[in-house]
Amino acid sequence: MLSRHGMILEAKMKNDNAWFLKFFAAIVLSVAIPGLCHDISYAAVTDPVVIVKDAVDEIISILQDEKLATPNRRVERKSRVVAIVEKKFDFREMSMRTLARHWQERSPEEQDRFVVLFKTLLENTYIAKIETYSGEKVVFKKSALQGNKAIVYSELVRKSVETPVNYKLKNSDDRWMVYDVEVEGVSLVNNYRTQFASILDKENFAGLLARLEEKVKKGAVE
Amino acid sequence: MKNHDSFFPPFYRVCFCCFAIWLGSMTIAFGQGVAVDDEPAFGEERDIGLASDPLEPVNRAFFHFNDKLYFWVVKPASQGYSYLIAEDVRMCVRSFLKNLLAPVRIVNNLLQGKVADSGIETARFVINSTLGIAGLADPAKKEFGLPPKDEDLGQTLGVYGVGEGIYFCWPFFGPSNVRDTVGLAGDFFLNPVSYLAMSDVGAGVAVGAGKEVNNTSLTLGDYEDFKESAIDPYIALRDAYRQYRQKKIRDVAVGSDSMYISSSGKIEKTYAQDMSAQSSAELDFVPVPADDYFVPVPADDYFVQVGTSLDTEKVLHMREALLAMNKESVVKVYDRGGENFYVLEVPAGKKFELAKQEAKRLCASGFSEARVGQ
Repeated sequence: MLSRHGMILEAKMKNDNAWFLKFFAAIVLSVAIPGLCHDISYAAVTDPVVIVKDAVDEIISILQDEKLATPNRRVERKSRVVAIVEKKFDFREMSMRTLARHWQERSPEEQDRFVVLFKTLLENTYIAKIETYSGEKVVFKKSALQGNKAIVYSELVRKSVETPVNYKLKNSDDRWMVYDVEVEGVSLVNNYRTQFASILDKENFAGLLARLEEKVKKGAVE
Repeated sequence: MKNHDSFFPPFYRVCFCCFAIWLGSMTIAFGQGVAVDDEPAFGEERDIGLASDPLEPVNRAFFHFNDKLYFWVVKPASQGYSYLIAEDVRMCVRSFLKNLLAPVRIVNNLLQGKVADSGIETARFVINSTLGIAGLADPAKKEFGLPPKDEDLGQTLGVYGVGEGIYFCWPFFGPSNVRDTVGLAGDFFLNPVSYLAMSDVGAGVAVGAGKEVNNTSLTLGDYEDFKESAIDPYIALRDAYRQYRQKKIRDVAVGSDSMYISSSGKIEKTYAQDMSAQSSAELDFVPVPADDYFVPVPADDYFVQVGTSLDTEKVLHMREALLAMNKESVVKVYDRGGENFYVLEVPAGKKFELAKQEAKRLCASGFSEARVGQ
């Protein structure tokens, strides 16, 4: 729009006098200023890529910080990473999705207990892996958006292997939160959903919680 | 034992086998009438249901066997091997062995009708076998920007609508199913190592074991991590295998060159249209008579393409503007030589006339590039 007016303006400048020029300048400005304001307000909309990238960059910078790598600061290092992850990952949404139809059948207390256990399980197994960090890079490739959901495509680059990792995000209350991670095409949530479903086929919910608790305890000892 | 002339009869047998399998799969595909593919909602996983696993006790036993095989044999061997051989050399070996399997990928791309991808694989094979010194390096990807197009017979059968059948966990080979096992048997004839194995079984097994050790040495720790994260590792591996294969068949989101929406042929077409539309929109400011934009296309689902751009911000702004008008839109992202190319679309139902009206409305409300697409 703006450039079109610019062209008209230029064309007019050749033929008409300054009076006309001012008149058109006024029109252009009246069109452009709301347009610019529009731009500014839209710039506040955050691209989900930025959300994930910021978190990953922050985590990598913590992992690269040699001062934090000493054994006596290990706990601090982990808790700092956990803090970042907790801000960006919606563990409740993930729990809901992994339990699927079983979620509705549980009491709020059971749901809360499950969220805590599932979160701890993920923290133990994935966040504990930060101890083995050795210079891996994350390359963000592209993103897709629809409605209140987004998928951020990235690649974990190790020296010998490149692994595609896709983050799925949901926007609620103006915050983008990750609700699933897809590694090499395998959805984490769906993988757990299948495992939980097969356990719940044979055992009751208490049995599942017991198995989770056992797993979490084992992870905490290591 | 076998003279060199005997290579050719197997070669013809290979062609015949491929043709027979193609014919067979076509028959199955048409016989069944390929099921209508309903896309899951955006950001949601396709529901692949539970695996059919009547052999679970046997499979679990073999899973256990493979697990022990890994921890007792493959892992120590890989560790020793990686201690002796530099990582770069091991990566070359992996690359060399992968290059040998080019015939499998070339043929299966063709069988799936992916002629362009088959050409890419052929070009990769030629470049990597020459410039890449018998496939030790991958200049085709690094210098020529030709990523591998990984296809096998199991995927080909899947594309033609053959179901996976029951789940198997083979000793040594790991997770599979009826379809992929048949596929593996078919691909056997396209694998040069098979011909080595036919003349000398010991050498064939040695190559297979060496490949396993070499590739494991490059991903040591991955299996441990996987097992660590699982509540029931057997189920976790079974599900991971199924999810992975399903996505491979549908060509979605596995590998760096993948796109958000699967069917590659369709995307390329829209993509080509987009490019011409974009350049014409940039070059002249004379509004094109609206009707010229609407080319009727035979389709069941129409959408209005609102705009195209290389700029993330611009697309997000347009999307916000649409949201302000209460219109949901889809951002599709295509990879154009390392650059992201965005296309913004508004779903417009199944009727072309309605989609056309929608496009006109959007045109009137400032989206001058709006036009109907399929």
